[in-house]
Amino acid sequence: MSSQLTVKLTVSELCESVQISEDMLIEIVSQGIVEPKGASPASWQFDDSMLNILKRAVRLREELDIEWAGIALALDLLDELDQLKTENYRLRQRLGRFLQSPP
Amino acid sequence: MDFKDYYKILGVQPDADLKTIKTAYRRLARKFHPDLNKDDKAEDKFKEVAEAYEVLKDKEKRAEYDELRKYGGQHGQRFTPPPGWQASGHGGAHFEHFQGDFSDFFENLFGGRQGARGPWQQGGTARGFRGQDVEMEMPIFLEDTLADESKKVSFRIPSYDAHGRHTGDKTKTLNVKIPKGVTDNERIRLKGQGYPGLEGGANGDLYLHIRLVPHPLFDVEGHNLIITVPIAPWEAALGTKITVPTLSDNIQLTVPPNSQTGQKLRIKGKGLPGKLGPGDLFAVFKIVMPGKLDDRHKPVWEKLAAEADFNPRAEWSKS
Repeated sequence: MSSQLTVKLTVSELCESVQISEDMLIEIVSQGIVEPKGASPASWQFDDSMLNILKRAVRLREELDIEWAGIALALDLLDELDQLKTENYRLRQRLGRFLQSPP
Repeated sequence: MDFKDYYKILGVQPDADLKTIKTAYRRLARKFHPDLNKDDKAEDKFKEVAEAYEVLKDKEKRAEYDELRKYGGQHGQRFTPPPGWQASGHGGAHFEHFQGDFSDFFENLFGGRQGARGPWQQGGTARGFRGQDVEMEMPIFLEDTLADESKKVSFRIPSYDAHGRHTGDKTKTLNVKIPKGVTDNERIRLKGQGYPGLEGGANGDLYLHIRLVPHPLFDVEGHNLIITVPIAPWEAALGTKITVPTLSDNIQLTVPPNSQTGQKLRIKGKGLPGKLGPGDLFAVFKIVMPGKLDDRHKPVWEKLAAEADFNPRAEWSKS
């Protein structure tokens, strides 16, 4: 992502966007679901992509009734699945160009 | 409006206790959650299950629903509430993260989600209510990433009167600058272009989720592009000069003598733009036989076959 598009969000801005308490955010960060820049919650900075991950995590927790550790695992696996599907799609497409017979 | 049998949707008996209902919900939610199940029907099924749980997990709502059910509703059949029956307005407050809409049946029963809270996010009373963010998929052609590109996007946003009542939806159209070098899966944020805020609250943001459209000739790998270049067997053997398309123009490419299928040539700087400079284009050779063997060429192939001592299956005899 190019630098001019990256938006930095503080803890309070993020909590407002995702509608969670700061305590809950600290719990989420401690599970490694997002990894903000900065050493302590007061100096934490989040970017857009983290906002998106957080929204998804909060929604999944609410809708599936799973604790945060489970959410962290589910998000990791879903991400990996997504990457593998994309890669598989691309490799199939490239293979198809090789196998297809000339017109 | 069709009657919904929430017990049937969750697959539980009408006298099921809360624990049974919760277990049934969890099981079905995991099965049909759109993040976990990519089937087209999964999302609708999940919404139905979430709606059923929303009612049955709540003592008051369940009692109200049981009342109506006694009145004679059958699943999937048209249903009119008894005369004098009023929506309770118990909806709303619990749905802060629920993105989908509940059915007409639910809205009639419990007043819907507009009731208590509306589509705003609590932002502290002093600053009013922040509007919801909007997320949209944005398909982009590879050619459009070469320079800043202006795209028109349209989406529906709700409008409100001075008292914050929902008065309808309107279409909002924006001209958005898609910056040079965007990549697949990137999100572009347009601050304040989402749902309007209320009581002085900030507007939500608009997020455009960039999706690169597959190209008929070029495959994408990071910032690099790959093009498959078909060549004739004699071109591969003797080498030649050919014209190869790039995203922006055509270039001359030298096929070296004795080229192989799968062999790659790098054309520097003809890939997609990136913040560390443009990627490269890779031309991958694919040796192609003519569709039909021409009788006039047959003697040439026969001569080659007689003279060449090349065994393409040498690997097989090693073991």
